[in-house]
Amino acid sequence: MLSIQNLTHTYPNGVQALKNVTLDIPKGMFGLLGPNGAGKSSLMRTIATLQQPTSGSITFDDIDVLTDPDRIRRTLGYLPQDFGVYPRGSAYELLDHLAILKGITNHKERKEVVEGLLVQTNLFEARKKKLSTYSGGMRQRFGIAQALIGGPRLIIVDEPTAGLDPEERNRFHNLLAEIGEEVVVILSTHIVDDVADLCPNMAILAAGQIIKKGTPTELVDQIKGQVWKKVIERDQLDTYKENHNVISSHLTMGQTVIFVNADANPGDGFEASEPTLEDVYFSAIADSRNGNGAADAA
Amino acid sequence: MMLQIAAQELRYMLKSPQTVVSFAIFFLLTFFAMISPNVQIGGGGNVDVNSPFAITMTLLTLNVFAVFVIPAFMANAILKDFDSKFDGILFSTPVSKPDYLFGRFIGAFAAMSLALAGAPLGMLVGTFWPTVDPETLSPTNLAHYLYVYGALVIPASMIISAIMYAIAIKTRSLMYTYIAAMGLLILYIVTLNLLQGPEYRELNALLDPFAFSTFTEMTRYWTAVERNTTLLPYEGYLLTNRLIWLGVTAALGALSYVMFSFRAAAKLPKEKKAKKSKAEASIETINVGVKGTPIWGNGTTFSQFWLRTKFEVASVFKSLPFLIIVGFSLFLTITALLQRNVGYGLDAYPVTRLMIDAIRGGFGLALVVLLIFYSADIIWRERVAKFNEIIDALPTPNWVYVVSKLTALGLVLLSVLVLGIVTSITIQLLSGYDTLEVSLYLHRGLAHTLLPFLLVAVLSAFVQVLSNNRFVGMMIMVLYLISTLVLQALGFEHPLYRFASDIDTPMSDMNGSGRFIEGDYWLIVYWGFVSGLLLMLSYMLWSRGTLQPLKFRLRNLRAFAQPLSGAAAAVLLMGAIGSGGFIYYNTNVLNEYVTVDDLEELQVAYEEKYRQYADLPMPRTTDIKVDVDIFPYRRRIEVRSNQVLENKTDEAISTVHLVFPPQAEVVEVTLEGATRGTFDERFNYHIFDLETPMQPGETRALDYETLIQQQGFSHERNSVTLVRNGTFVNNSEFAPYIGFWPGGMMADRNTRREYGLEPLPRTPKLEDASQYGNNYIRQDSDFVTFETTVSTIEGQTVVAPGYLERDWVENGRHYFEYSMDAPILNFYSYLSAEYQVIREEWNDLLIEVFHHAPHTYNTGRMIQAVKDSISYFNTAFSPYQHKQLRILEFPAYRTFAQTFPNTVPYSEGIGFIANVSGAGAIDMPYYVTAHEVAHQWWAHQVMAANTQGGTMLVETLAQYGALLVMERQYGKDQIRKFLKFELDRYLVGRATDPEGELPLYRVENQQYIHYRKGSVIMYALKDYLGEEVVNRALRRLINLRAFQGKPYAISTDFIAFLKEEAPEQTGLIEDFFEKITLFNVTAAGSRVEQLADGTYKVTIDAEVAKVYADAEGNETEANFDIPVDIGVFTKSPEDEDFGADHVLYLEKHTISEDGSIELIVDKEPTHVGVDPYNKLIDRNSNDNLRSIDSIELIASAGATTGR
Repeated sequence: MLSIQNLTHTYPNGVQALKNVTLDIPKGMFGLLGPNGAGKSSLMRTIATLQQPTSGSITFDDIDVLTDPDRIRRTLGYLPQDFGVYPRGSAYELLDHLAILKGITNHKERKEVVEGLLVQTNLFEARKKKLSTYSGGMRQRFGIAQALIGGPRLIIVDEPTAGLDPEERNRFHNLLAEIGEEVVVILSTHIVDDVADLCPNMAILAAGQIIKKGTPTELVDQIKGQVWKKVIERDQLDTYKENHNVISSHLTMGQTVIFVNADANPGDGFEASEPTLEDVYFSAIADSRNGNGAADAA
Repeated sequence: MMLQIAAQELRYMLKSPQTVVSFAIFFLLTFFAMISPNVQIGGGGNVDVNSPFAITMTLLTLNVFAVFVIPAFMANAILKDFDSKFDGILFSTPVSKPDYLFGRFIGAFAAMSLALAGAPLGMLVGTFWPTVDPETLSPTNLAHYLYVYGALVIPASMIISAIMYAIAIKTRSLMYTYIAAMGLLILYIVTLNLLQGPEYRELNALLDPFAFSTFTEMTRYWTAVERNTTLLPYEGYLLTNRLIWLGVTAALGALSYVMFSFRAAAKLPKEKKAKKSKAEASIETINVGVKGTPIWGNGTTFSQFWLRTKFEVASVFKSLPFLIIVGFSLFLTITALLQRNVGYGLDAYPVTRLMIDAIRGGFGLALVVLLIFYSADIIWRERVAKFNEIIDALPTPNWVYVVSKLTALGLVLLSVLVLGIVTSITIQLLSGYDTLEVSLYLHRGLAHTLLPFLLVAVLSAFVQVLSNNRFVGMMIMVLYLISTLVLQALGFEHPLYRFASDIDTPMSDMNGSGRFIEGDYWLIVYWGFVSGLLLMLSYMLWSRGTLQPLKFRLRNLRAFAQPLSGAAAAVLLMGAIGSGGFIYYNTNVLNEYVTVDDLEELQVAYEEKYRQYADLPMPRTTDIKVDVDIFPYRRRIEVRSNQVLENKTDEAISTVHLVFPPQAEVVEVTLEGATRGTFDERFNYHIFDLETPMQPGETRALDYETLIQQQGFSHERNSVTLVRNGTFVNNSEFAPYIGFWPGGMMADRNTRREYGLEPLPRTPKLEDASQYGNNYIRQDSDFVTFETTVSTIEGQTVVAPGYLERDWVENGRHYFEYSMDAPILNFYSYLSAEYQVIREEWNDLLIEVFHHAPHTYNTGRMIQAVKDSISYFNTAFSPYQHKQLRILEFPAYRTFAQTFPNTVPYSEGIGFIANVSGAGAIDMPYYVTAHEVAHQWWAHQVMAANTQGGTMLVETLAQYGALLVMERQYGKDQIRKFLKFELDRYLVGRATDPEGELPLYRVENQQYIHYRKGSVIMYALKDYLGEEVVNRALRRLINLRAFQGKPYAISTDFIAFLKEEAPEQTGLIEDFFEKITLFNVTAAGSRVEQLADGTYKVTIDAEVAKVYADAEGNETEANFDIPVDIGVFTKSPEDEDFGADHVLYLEKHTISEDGSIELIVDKEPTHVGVDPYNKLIDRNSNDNLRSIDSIELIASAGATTGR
């Protein structure tokens, strides 16, 4: 469906945001996981025709995204990471406005679409309120409503759950899950659970490079038997970091738990830990920091 | 801490583009103003371009411009924390409020001051530029720059900065701060315009925050010497003004401090309660999951375009800034609509043409400036709302966004203009003017005004798109604006490369828009095509999503490869080339493309080649027969003439030179008994060799045929004489000059110096007897006999000097034959128009006013003025030489009146539409008519020789005649009012004369002397010598010189008669005419004491002084030896309803050493005056009157009457 080939982007100030990214994204929900500053938004924007890359190509079915942006826009739904709204206008008015810009010119049909989306995103009651008075969660739901106008086949949601409370986040996940499996949905996030909950396929992006890709299950399987954990004193952390490949550390009830990556039990009180997607993510990031991420991705 | 914050702010600002860009702009502006010979601010004439005066003028002017950049600094200083949402962090730090608030201000103000320093530096550097004429430079004095910058510029910008800072704190919006700045500027300009009259000068001087009016007022009558050496001192008005504003600034600082709070919460938009509508959709019936079927096609795109346009227009209309802008514009326009000054404090009637000019002028620059700011606002709307990523990922084509934004801008401008027109019509109706010319409003007020703004809007959008930065985009547009003001002055004149250039399209009630407008519309079409291309580039390069460098966006230009875009671009390009080609054909092929520089070079070449012949003996014209055919619609005049030339010299003449006017095409020219030796087409210069020399007294026939026409349009100087209705042409435009024509040489002294030429004497010296046989109008003829046959199209009347012998219609043309019964000066004109005529026969005299049908407002006053003038001049001077006097209206392209033998062409722009109502208004149509009628004596009876003082005999004496007629009709008070205007204009004129002042009797055609000073002097002369004495001298002058060419009259002829008639006043006559004399009289004190008999003893302290000035204004003290009016009044003569009954005493007194005068009057006085009616030339004419200082009523007075 969506094919990204050798995408590279360097900003005028010299920062290399994307380094030779190649990805094939099938139908269904696709999770793009990465830390802040990894280049997720650059990639999302480039796919959403909002940014021209330095080099590389993107195609969606037969559409060349970079040279024919208007065609891809006709089938695109995009929820940017951070967006504002016009100071005036209600949710209904703005959705109606956007529906016309998305080509739904039939008045009756447009009314049905807009009302349907308002119900679907649970904003119907608040449809006449000014958008500028919406809470963060409502605004995000409005964002997904506008992205769904006109039944897009490619949907890009960039960090949609950042800053939402657990209840809103849950509601949002349900919304995304409903979108269906017939279209490509790219969910960019730095929250591992979002991907774990929703995505059959995923990739991990760090420092502008894809360092892991596959299904979450595959990726978890890859590190089975390699993750070990131990409860330590907080001031011992640095010592452990020197001696072990520490992929993450958590605080649990005031105590520090560290996870390390090793082919065999490093002893010293470590015990085996059942790997999770989070361990995959942290070990990949850790590898990438150590400079061997690219090899893994290749 | 405060200083640390200030230093940090300064460092931050110095790195930001606004400081660098502003510095560059200020530097370049003054630099170019200095090195460009055509731009002069403050300098010029005897005033050096780097004199303290010029430095002050330049920097203070620039300071007003600085209002555009101050908000950027001030708002930025305080708003960047809010905009970047850094306020939360910053305000929770232990920084104290005063440290933060004043530290930021000091830092930002310091950065701005550095940017402003660009102006004096640019000026200073400019003075070292090699092309700057060293003659116009004073020695460099850094102290002058420092003083003006430090003592005048910085305080003024501090005031504005404080205001802007307070507004930025209050509104927390850059846009509002900018709007406030605009508002302030507009308010400032409007106030200056409204308070123009001399009575407001003091107020302006005290309150002007820029101290510009203060400067103007304090230096109003400064002479060149003072301007070159004196800095504006911190005293008087300036000191008071600065103290007032220092107080205001301090108050604003305190106010900012009080208003600002670290804890101020962000305002939440208020929520309106949703209204219940009837057909409320019920949530249960809604079908979730309808996807909708997008339809792609032209219909959709159009709906999207329409949606966006409506949306943008609504956004603008609903925004407060728009309402503020409209409010300001409306205010400005109303002011302009109410200001229709035509001189001497009179307004014109609200004719639509003037109203449209007012709307255009009122909106003019302000609209462009607002356009720049608003176009930026509209274009950046999505980004500012952070909604751009959603909008930009939608399948709506770029052009929909760009074009809808521009359309919205156009509609906004349109609505503002419509508002202006509605206001204007309302004002017309309210003032009882009910001739509504709606189509003229729609054409000139709306369409023709709006179109150029739309072109600029497209450019502004393009610049914004290209620059990707709001501030840079605005700055580029400001530079564009400046370029429209200076490019032409720098010699880049061609309209094909000046964006949205135009051709002058003056309006006239008689001739409408004429054909001037055609060329202008061609330019609009041409720039329309170019704008179309810019528009296409704008939407192709439109940044969607992330702002990326141009390099990336250029890829989008491949859209030109698509058939539709490609075809559109091709059509636009072809259109631009086609219309551009047509314009080029008109400006460069049909007409010659001549720039101001080319003209100058032509003049220089002419002088170089032909001035050698200036003193060759030439025959003179004695008889003129001329046939003229006027084709108003073809803008063409054909002339066939037979002239007789006579050798009036006492030597034989073997070559005759003829110079035809530059714009005339010579079809044929023959001189009896001569062959044309050389013909120089470039200068229309013909040299004839006579086969047998012309002996003294011999005459020869000169026959010529010429043609003048306007083909198509030219980029400048389109003919205003050749028009459809209201042709006004005189013989200098088609008839040859016999001999070297001095008028072809460059006259301006400074321009001559640029070309390395010696200055040309303006006028030969008074003592140059060789010129006594030449008159100053033209030296190739004296009084001539004249007859003419002239034709025009049917429906028009054409008038020439002389009496109409007969008229007939033949082949659709109307012929008129005029002949003159007595010789006239070789100075005649033709006016052809669809005239209405008002006729009145009076004492064997036929008075006629030929006028444009609706212009009947003042024709009665004109006829009255003719009667009053002729009846007075007949007895006071000599009998009128003609049996007829005709006043002829011509279009307002030129605004003067001029006297030809028995005809007076009179512009529609002055007397015809002046509104002479209101108590005490000066009747300008009456005055101008009386002045012109007086020229039938002073010019057409007594003509002056071509020497210094010539115009004194013509213009000053015509002013004298007009003053006397006016005084008879309207009384002394109106004359006093009139002379105050005249005195002021004289004093301003002498201060700015490029070549220095001369005494009246040596005037070299200097208008401020022969008109303005002339009026004041002649009125005072009449007052001191008596009317009959002056008139006797004038009658003797007529007896001596009337209708005579050998010799013509000179100014000393008149002065000699005056001295003979009033020998005791010789000193005064010399002071008035032969010297530049300035008086300074002051009523310094006054006391009143009631005497026992009920009368009042008045003591007046008079201070009097007299100085003689030289040409540059250097003064030498002289003994005040003339008596002066002392007056005692019961009301100030300044009051509107002051009349003769308020005068208790008015007599001339000789002032003793101590200056004290004691008088007894019957009633209790309120005012005293020394020269209270301002008869003398006095640089400070406001201190001649004084209200009573102390009054001492005898205590027993009441008791006395009681007993």
